[in-house]
Amino acid sequence: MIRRWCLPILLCLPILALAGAGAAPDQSLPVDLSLEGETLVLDNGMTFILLPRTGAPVFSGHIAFEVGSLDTVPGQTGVAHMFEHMVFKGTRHIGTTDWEKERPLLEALQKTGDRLTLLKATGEGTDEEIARLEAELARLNEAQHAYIVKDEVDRIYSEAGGRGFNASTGTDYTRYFVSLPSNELELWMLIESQRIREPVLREFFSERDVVFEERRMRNDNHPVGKLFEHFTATAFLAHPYRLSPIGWASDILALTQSGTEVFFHEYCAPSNAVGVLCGNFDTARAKSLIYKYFGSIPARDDPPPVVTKEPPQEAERRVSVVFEANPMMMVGFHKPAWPHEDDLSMDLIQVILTDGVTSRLYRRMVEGDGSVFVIQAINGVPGTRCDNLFAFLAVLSGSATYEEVEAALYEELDRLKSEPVSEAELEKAKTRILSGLIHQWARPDDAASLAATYQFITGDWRSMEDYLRDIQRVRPEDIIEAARTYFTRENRTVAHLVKPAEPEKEVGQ
Amino acid sequence: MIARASCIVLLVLAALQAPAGDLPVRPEQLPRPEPLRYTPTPPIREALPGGLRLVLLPDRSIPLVTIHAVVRAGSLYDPPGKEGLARITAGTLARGGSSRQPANALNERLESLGASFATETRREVSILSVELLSKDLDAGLGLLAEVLTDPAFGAPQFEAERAGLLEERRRRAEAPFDFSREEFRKLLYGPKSPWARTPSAAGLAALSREDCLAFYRARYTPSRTVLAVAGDFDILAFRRRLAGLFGSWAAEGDPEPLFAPAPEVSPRGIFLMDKPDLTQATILMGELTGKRIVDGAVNPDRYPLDVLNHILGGGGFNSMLMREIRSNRGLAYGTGSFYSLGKDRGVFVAFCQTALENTGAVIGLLRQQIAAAAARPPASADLARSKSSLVKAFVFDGREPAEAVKRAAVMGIQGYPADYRARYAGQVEDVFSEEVLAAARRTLHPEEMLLFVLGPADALEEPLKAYGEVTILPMPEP
Repeated sequence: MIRRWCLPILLCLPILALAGAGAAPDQSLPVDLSLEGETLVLDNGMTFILLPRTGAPVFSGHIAFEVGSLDTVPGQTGVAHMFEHMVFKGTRHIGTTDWEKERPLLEALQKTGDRLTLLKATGEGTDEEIARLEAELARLNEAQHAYIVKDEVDRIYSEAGGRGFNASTGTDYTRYFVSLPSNELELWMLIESQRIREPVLREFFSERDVVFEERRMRNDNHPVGKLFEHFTATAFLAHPYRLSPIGWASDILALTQSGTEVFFHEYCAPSNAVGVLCGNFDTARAKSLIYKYFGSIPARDDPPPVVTKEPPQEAERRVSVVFEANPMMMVGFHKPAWPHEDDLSMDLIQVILTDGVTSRLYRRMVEGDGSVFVIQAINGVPGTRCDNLFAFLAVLSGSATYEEVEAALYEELDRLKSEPVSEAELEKAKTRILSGLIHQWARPDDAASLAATYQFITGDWRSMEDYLRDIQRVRPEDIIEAARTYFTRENRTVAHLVKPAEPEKEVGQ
Repeated sequence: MIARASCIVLLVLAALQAPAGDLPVRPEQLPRPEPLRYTPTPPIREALPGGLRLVLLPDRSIPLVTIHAVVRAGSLYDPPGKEGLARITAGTLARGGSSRQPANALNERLESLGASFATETRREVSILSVELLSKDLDAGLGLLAEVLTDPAFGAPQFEAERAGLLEERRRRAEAPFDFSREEFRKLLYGPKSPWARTPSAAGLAALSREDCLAFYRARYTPSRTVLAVAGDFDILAFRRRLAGLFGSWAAEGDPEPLFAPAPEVSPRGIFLMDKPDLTQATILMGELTGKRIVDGAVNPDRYPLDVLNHILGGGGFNSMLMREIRSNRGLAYGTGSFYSLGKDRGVFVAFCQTALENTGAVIGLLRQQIAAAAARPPASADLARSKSSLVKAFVFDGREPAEAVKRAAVMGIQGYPADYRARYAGQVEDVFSEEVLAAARRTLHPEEMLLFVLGPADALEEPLKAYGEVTILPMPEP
């Protein structure tokens, strides 16, 4: 869920798979990735990864929290994303002309706005009470605006030459990022440490409207967004991967300022955060600034873990999603998350099936019979922090039917179960994973994001090396084994997009 | 539940009162940053005897090389009735093999290196790109030269490219913003203008592989091509290799066509395209702008307009449109503006996606903010912020050499002087507020702009009528 106006792009999936992630300086690898860097752990539990690079005097700064829609509950879905938006509104020192005077207004706004929210969400308020609260909210807003310095964090970074100031919230992680010229290192420390120490949730209620428009744009008026949301909600019964990261519409309208603040205190503890600097900076100076600015953030308890396990799926699930658009579908299979070793085989299968014009499904279905316009396998839907799905998105061509596309897809999956992949094909897939990772590692923003992800999953970002070394060891029989284990009918969820007033025919598979 | 939550908040807030020591809390408390004194290395520009131009930027810090072949063969050059041909030609060229080896063998070799060809077709250029591990540079460059100078346009790959584009066209209304931009351009330039026209289903169905070959012969020539290369390569060895690969490429091609000029007067009017299923309106408001090159030099309005657009709608949260529509009122997630100057004429557009019931109000705000930008010089704080942002971000050119050479190649084809980028920061630095206002007055005419809205007509016609006579358009055929 990239913040700001990231306009919808046809068929751009709103997810980042871990696929193509991993790399290492192993003797058997053709290129030394050189994972140079340092790790610091502060007394409050916050981890920093420093990835110094030569070249232009700029750096990327990332702060990631292991918190996402996985950590939300029905009634409050979207709160992780809502909080992310609020972090752009400033702190006690930034975004205000006088915090002491502003503060009582903010507290009154919270009380009035949250009460109004509750009444509207439950439908319990009388018209008079709602009108009174709305008038009161408007009055308080106006009073508070006398003290607000609008979007000051953005202004400061913009004036400093910052680029790509943004954040994202997914199922697994929330990330805050910006790139700056190297001489602004201390500015980054000052702002980011304050933003995670004491964000002030200004302008909560108007920002909630912004988020609602974001939902309309990404999910309600976008076929892939809507299909994806329904697909995951069908594939998962118990596990919070079923929840929409942006939040269900009624939940967004019911989000309260106090609930969002509680969420921050419960989940955004320093021990749940990883900071990454990647670029041209002085490491010694960076370290001393990190201790100075981030070291004094008080330690807090670790957030509660996700304890729900998805019960084994025992029969195929199918869902029809109504949207005024041409046919597209998703098919997914439950499987474990890395570092489970089967995930390595699934990463390779993803490449073998749909990565590049020589991949099996591209050759058969795009170039061959032309039944699909896009076919994409994604290992790690909707996230990779917990056991997840190996999924396909297929966008059908004009003449194709769901039946024939599904049949071709399942035939190719069956082939993986019975026929060993050739050495050449497996080698190509391994090379493509390695090369994809090297290209990602070369881009500072991607490198920072990768390092944080590996750090969260294993406690050591250098486990990227293990991943790549292990990928090189996967044998054709491992692929067969994984395919047989996971690509079964009872483990399958299928979602079809159908036009309104055109109820779908029963599909006999 | 909510009441309980607020108790917890108060407790936690109290706990956070503890001071953070003597930390600076405001940027002004920090020592002024040392000036950077850094200039990105400019790329090396040269040409081979056959006319192929090179833009080279060695950077040996990471063992990767990116090559872009930028060819003056964009959709502008689609013969009338054959819209889409430039794009299908680029895609088929990249994936359809060469005279020396069939597509499957060539693609297998390339993809076994961990690489793929990417193609992109814009109005003026098509770009064929590949990212390689530097150890594979020789092999990858060889394959790129093969498809570029000796393509086979394999029949199955042609069919896949054509079917793909046909399907994309059939689905274009599913992406409201991109769809609206296309329709908006057609209204501004005219539907048959080379700067706006788009492929039709019938036209695509009639295209053949022979059309690709003819297009290739007409437009893919050394003198219309720039090879932009960045990353880990040895420049001397690279030159020798290029001479071997491209030395005999000597295609002449067709002369540059004459294009029908853009309208002299930017069209006006209010157009509502009826798409009943949408629950959010897409609003575009804008007009035609000027030329990028005037009398052989960069249009002097370029620099003040860059600053103006940054202040008005291109510069993030602090831009006027984001401030008024999103941040102050919560009326939208996506709003802003962008502009281009054209080979002939470019486009200015302000945009917003908002709830149906807010459409009328948002149009008023867009118009009001554009009018304000054309009525008064920018506030000095806004001017300083935008200039600082545009000037300082220049340092990032050095971090993204692959992007820098691609941009240099495209801008070279577009007629920008070679030192444009190097001089850019200085030019922006010199912009003063009256220049911004003068450029805004020449470019922005809020009362005369064309307004395009996509959404359900039954909900939107009334609010639009407040701004004048509304023409309701049906959804076009794909």
